[in-house]
Amino acid sequence: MTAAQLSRAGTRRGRRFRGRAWRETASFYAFIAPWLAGFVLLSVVPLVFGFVISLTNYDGLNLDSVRFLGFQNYQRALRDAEALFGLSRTGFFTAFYVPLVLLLALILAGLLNHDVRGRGAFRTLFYLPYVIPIGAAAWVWRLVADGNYGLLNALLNLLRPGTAVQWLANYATQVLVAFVVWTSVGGAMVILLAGLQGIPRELREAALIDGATPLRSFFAITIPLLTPVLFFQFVMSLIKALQAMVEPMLLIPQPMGFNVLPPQDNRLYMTFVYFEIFTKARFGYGTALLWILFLLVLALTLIVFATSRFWVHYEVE
Amino acid sequence: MQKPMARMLRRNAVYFLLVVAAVAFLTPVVWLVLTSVKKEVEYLSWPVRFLPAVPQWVNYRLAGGDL
Repeated sequence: MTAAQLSRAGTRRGRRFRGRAWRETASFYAFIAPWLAGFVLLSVVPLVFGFVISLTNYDGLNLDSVRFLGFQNYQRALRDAEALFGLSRTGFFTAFYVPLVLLLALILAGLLNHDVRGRGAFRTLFYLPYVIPIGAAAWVWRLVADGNYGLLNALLNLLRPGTAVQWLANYATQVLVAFVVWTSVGGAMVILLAGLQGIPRELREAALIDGATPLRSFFAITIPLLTPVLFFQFVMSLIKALQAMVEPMLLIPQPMGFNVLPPQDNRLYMTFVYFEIFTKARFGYGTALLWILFLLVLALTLIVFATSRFWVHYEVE
Repeated sequence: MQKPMARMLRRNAVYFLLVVAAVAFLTPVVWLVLTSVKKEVEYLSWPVRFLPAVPQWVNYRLAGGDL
């Protein structure tokens, strides 16, 4: 074969290879196109649109009077006493909700990790509130905690006649925390139980043979091996708590309505945002408030991720 | 190894805690079910009636009709 023939054959091969590479690239993009289109249309476009709205005075109805305000909405939000109050109540709610959910879920998962009869039935019972629709769950909690005809007062009256505590008005945050814990602990429990069942039994048995007490084995073996699951659950609970909106709006002492505010103590940040957007028609300002919350959630999540290297232990390390 | 007595105590403690938690978790659900078969005057009355005088299964028929 001459040099010219070799060169021609090489060129043909190169063209064939380039053609195949192009086809592979084209099919790759064709396959991911539906997802990419969904991501752009349902995530990127609304995010950009939301950010643009947050820089305007948009009221949700009138496009003619829209005026560009720059970062005025953000400056106003940082000085708004009601927004800051909502943020402080959200922080208070989060400070009780997150540890309680993790602790109760861990206790329940630990109990169910024992070889007990009826384990499946108990697991179903604890998981049940997690699958009840939030509206129905809130309605029944209103019936339980109602100050005039509630079950809680009825039970307390058996012990101390004449008790009439207005739980939904005077203990609003306590009832709210109990309610949200009740509805979400089942989900956390299932995840922690799966984590506990993934811990090799031999490790605990070896520790017990070496003379460790069950408590020591729990803190020295079970908890460290469970930290990746605890970390995941912690982050999810944190985000859920910071975004809580529906629950305080449903757990109100008076009849529900479109613009009925929850008790003062339960006016969380997201409920404040809801009222700003949907009852006061301040879409621009409300969206700015949402971006501030997003940045806050992002910052807290990043802090938790940064600290995770000190307390989360992965088996591959 | 654990002594049989200690093991039995531990098992009973686990059952006790599971039952207490189950009662706490189930009470609102039971109350939801009981309320669903009460008349409005029954669930909005004081002193509280724990059980309906006559179960109002018609509530479910009405709910089914709304679907």
